[in-house]
Order: sequence, then C-alpha cells, then structure tokens
Amino acid sequence: MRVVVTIDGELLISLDYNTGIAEQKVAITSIVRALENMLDREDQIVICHGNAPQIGTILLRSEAAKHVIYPLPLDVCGADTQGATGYMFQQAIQSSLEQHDRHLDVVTLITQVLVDEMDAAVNPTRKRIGPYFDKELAQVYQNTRKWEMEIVPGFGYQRTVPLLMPERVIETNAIRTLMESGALVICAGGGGIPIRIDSSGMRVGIEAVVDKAYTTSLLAKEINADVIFFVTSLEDLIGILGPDLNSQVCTFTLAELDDLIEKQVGLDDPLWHKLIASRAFLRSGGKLVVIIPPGELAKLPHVSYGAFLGSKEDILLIHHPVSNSKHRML
Amino acid sequence: MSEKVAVIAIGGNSLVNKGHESIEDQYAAVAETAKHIADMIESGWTVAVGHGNGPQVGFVLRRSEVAHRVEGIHEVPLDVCGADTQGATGYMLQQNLYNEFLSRGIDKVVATIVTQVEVDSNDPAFQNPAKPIGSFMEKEQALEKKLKDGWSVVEDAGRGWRRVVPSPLPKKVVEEPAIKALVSQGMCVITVGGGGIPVVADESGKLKGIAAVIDKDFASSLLATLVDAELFVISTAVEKVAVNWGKPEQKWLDQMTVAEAKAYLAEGTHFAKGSMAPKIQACIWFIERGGKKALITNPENIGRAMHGETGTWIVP
Repeated sequence: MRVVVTIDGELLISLDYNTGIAEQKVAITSIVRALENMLDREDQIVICHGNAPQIGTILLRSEAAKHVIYPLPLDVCGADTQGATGYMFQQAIQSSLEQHDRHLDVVTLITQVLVDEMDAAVNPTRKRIGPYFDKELAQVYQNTRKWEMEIVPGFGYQRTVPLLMPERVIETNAIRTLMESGALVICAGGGGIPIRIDSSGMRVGIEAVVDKAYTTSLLAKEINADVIFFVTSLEDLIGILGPDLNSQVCTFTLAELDDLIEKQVGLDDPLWHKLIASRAFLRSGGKLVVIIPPGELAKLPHVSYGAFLGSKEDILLIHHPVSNSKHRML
Repeated sequence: MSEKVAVIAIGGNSLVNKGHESIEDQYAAVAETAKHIADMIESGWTVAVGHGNGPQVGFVLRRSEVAHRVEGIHEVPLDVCGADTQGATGYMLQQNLYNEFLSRGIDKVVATIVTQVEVDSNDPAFQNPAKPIGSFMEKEQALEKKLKDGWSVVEDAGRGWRRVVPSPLPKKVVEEPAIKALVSQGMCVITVGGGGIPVVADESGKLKGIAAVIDKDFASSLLATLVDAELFVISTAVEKVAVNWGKPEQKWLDQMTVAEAKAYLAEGTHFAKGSMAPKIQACIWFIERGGKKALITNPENIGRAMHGETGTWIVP
C-alpha cells in the first residue's frame, strides 16, 4: 500500500517559536517516534511536511541581516527549508530504523511545484508571511520591492503573497523512481517550491505560497497512493469539530464530508484546506484520509489501519463510502 | 547503470558572481554553469553533479550571525547550513539545468538529493581542525565561543580570530542507493553539495551531524566510484593543470598518468596546497579505484574538453 504522510511544520519545531536547531531536532525525533508503528509496516511511505514557521525564521534572519547580506526571495527560502528540514527528518528516521535493526533508504528530494495561474486570477487568496514592519518601512517595501502589505492590528504591517493552487509536482518522475527502488521519500516540503512557466517555456520561481494539503492530495493522486495521513495538532481538530468531538474517532463518508465542507464555507483555516484536499483525493480514487494528532498516531496499532476505527481516540477519519468495509482489511 | 556515467564536481565559486552576490546574480552564474553541464550531457554522458558551497555557507552563516546579534534569532549549526545550501543551490541548479535542456531540446529529468556523507570519527583531521569558517571575530568573542560552544579558534595573522573546523575524508555516501536508482534511469542528479553534510555514526549506527567540512572534490570522487562513473571531471578556475606552478619553468599539462601525478604530488612543489593538490588527489583516488579517466579544466572549456581539445587528463 502507498501512503502519503503530511506533517504540519509547527510540529517540527518546539512550541517556543525561536528555539534553536537542537530543540527542532528533538521535536522532529518525537514526530518520528510517533511514526514508528507506521514505519514498521510494509507500506511504501512518502513524507511531506509544512514549512511555515521555518520560512518565518529565515525571513526574520534575512530582514535582520539585510544591511550586510542580500535578502532571500521566497522560492529560495522554500528550497532552504526543504534542504534543512528534509535533512533533519531523514536523519531522525534513519536513526530510528537503525535502532530497530531495520534497513530502509530514506531520501529527501528538492521539489518544485507548478502553480495554477488561472486559479490565481479567479481566486485571489493571499497569505500573510514574514516579519511585522512599522508603517514607514512597510511603505518603503511597498514602493521598492512592490510588496503588498496588510495591517495586523497590534502587530504592524505584514507582507501578503498569493496562496496558489498546485497544478503539477515537477519531480514526480524522480519520486516514483525512488519509491520503486524501495526508498522512503521526503518531498514537497512546504507544499513544494512554487514555480511558473514563462512565455518561452522556462521554469521560474515565484513569490507565492502553496498550501501543502493541496500538494499532498495532488502528489498522492500522481503516485497512486491509497491513503493520506495529515498529522496536525489536536487544537486544529477541535477548532472545526468542537470540543465535544475531541475524545472519539469521527468517521465521515465522502457525502458527509461534502456536508461538513458546505457548512464551513469560507473558513480560512489549515484544517479547512485539509478537508478540501481530502475531498479532492477521495474523489480521484483515494481510499482513505486520516487526520490525526501526533500523539494518537503513536498509538495507532500497526496491525492494520482498520483496527483503530473502533477505538475511542482523538482521530478524525474521513473515508470513502465504497471502501468502508474494505479498509478494515487494509 | 546507464552505459556512460560521468560525475562532475563544480566549484562553489562558479555558482556565485564575486562581488555581485544577490540571488539574481547567483541565478545568472548558475545558468552559465548549467550550460557547461549541458555540454557534457550533449556529448552523451549521464551526469551526476557534485558542487561546492563555500561562498553559500558563508552567506548563510553571515545571515545567521547578524540576525542572532541584532534580533536574538537562534543560530544555524554547520550541518544544517550545509543542508540549507544543498536545498537552495540544488534548486537553482536543477531549475537552470532544466531550462538549458529545454532550450537545447534535451529530454532529461534533473533532481536534487539532500546528501549526508559519513566520516570516520577517528579521522586524524579531528585532531587538527584547520578549515576556517564564518566571520572574523574579536579575541574576546573567539575565546568565549571556545569556552561556551567548544569551538576551535585560531588567530589569522592581523585579520582577527576565526573558527576552524576539521576536514575529514569522506567514507560513505549515505544516500548512495537513491543516487544510483536515479542515475540508472539516466537522470541528472545533483548530490553531495558542499562535499555532503558531514555525519558520524555512533556504536548503534545512529547518524549525527557534526561541525566539519568535507572536501567537495574528495566527496565527488567517491561518488564517481560509487556510481561506476567512467569519467570524473573537476571544474575549477584554470583550463589546465600546471607543474612548477608560478615559477619560470611552469608547464601546462595535457595528460598525466596516475604514477606521474603521484610523483608530482610527492615532490610537493607543483600544486597549491588546499587548492590544486587535493583536486589531483581526488582524481588519483578515482582512477585507483577503477575509474577510466579524470579531467581537470575550467567551466567554459568543458565542451571542448569533451572533444579531447583541452583540459588536463589523468589516466591510469
């Protein structure tokens, strides 16, 4: 079975935003511990991850040091975080496997994603990113760097960039080849480095962000994955489901998911993007989506995914109606 | 493996534009380098690319140091700096290579692998950290870093104090199977950036990043052996290698055998230490481990060298 596991960037740092790399390594190690049951199975696993806090830190550094060294554009920031987070992640997984006397190649692939520019024109969603500025500096950047800025009450001005839909994962071929060689692939960090294709066919990095949930669902479809796991914090789940639902497994059929999405229209929230992306994946033939906090993932029985359906844990399960009986056997 | 595999080691300096170091300038430099790699691919080679990251790590460290001082943002340790630059430089290279392939009608997948290189924790280099890294410091700051963070620091004649780290030899490319899987499909793989992220394994086999720098020519030479490359190319600042470098009797070489190369190296006067000497050594090791030929030339002459017109060739 092919499984894509996508982990929120917030779970890969510690709670204090500005903790050091040592603490990030600890956070990553604890996520890998939560993944151990899954690593034990014979599944082919692809791991994606968020990078919002990591990009935030790089942008802070870039701004703080701009007088002595050139500032970094967003595409390069994304590539930076894919390298660094991928490295720490792959090393933590390799170490965990080594401890359990298992051998599996773990590899990080730098991943670009082609964005849908048509969608950007129809659906101009923007996302705030980077440090806060005072009014004066905000105006300077509006003029010199052509940045769009938004006022965040109590904080100052913050840059906004387009949040674009991914259309194609550029490195799918390489990802497939690596999977077929038996490797666990870490890719599409931060949803991929967003690029466009210019009038002469050339690939060009752009100043935009892509939500990793959509890249996950697109990639899952491109590599014919069966299951997506979105690993997210419990707070996110409670946010949309309400506190009364936080102590049990919730299962949704695709039709029920439609209803849920219908009721929550316009909600701009990470979980919302995950729900929409889940629906796209299930509609394109995916069998199961599991949205789960890391603590619960750790408890996930390694015998079968179906087994935890009946447990009374904090797991939100979204599954396809036709596979309802099937995934007890997965 | 596809039948003709070559590995090229690109100097980190040829991926930046000295004195003009903005990202736009870096793109321009990378685009130029991509042309020379495409020349090799057009000559029929499946190419794996290793690259340096000296200037790039310098930029990341500088940003890290300043942001720490000004805003208190946590600093980036050396292994993570290496991973950062593998991501960013790999991205720029893979994008520019694709664009170059497109304009030449070459149908080739290009991919970057974040690569760790294992070194021996007993490597003698650990007893003698000699590779300077990061900015110059005042004596006080240097000694504080030594005390607090365990840095090795040295005074650089008149210019201030600097951190030095060991430069151990590469022992194993951790991601070797993945690199081979891609190369065997004829893909152009960018790997061992900066000589690889240096790691050591503990007794249980767990890997740990360390503050060290691996020579990118040594790592690329090892890579060339691992992927069964026929050809190993080191792209550097000169078209050919010279013996008696800098002296009146200086002589440019078209070719040397491994035996000749070793003799020149042993004489110790021909090649600049820390510059040409390790490149010659990297070529010698490659041939001694079964490689057929190695080439040293500058980026703009790679195309001509592929047709046997220039460069210095090292042969068995």
